[in-house]
Amino acid sequence: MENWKATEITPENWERVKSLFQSALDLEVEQRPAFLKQNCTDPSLCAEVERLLANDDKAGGDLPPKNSTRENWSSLVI
Amino acid sequence: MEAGDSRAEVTVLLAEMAKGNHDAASKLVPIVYGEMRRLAARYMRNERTDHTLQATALVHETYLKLVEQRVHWSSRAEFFGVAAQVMRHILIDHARGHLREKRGGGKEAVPLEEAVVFSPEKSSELLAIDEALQRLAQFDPRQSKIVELRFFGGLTVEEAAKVLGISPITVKRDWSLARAWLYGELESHGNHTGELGKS
Repeated sequence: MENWKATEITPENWERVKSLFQSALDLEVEQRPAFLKQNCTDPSLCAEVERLLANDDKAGGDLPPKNSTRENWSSLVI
Repeated sequence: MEAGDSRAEVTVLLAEMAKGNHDAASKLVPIVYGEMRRLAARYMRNERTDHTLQATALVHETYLKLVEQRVHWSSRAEFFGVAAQVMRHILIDHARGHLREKRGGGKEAVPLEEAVVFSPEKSSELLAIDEALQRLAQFDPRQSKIVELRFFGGLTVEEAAKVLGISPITVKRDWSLARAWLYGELESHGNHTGELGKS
């Protein structure tokens, strides 16, 4: 799936992405598809939220670390 | 200027900034920059055994040097907002200089010993992050600022929340999304991030 180009993102649709992403993140992983199906009517916006949720999963210990401490976070810039 | 002399001036500038005086911020930048360079140079002379100086540790040390410890938290917040920005500029300048040098043209922008100890192999990655943050700022300036504070300033979630005057939970939520978005951006730039060094 192609990333949304930054030019396609507006503060308005980003607010919608943010709200869906954050609500989905509070759910168990297996509940998320049903939640998005129910709450997201725009397919491209929905795909973007799914992509971001997958990234959140993949990012794991990678950059930038999820629960970063000053030490591991700054390891990139030393 | 000695750090001790700067403290009084910094206190006044931070108070002015808290009142919304933008000129105060532009006066604070060179003071912060100068102190960071001084501290970085001292570290280099002492040649610590691990030979590393973390950029974010330097930001905190600059704070200890320049800010009176009993200042109001809002002044503390203003300071870190500026310091994270200065550190971002220093690192990005340095990364650009490194990539230029690698291509055989021009001189290094910032001498290593005067900036921070820096992993040259991270140059492309750092510039890719900087550019992604500029894009993020177009549609969500607050998220971009949160990443700047945490990444370049080394602030914790709680500290960033104070700087921005929002709750830690909001910072955490914004941070999760910004992080997921940045991850995608960096991944999609993948192998050609070196090209981002061209200005």
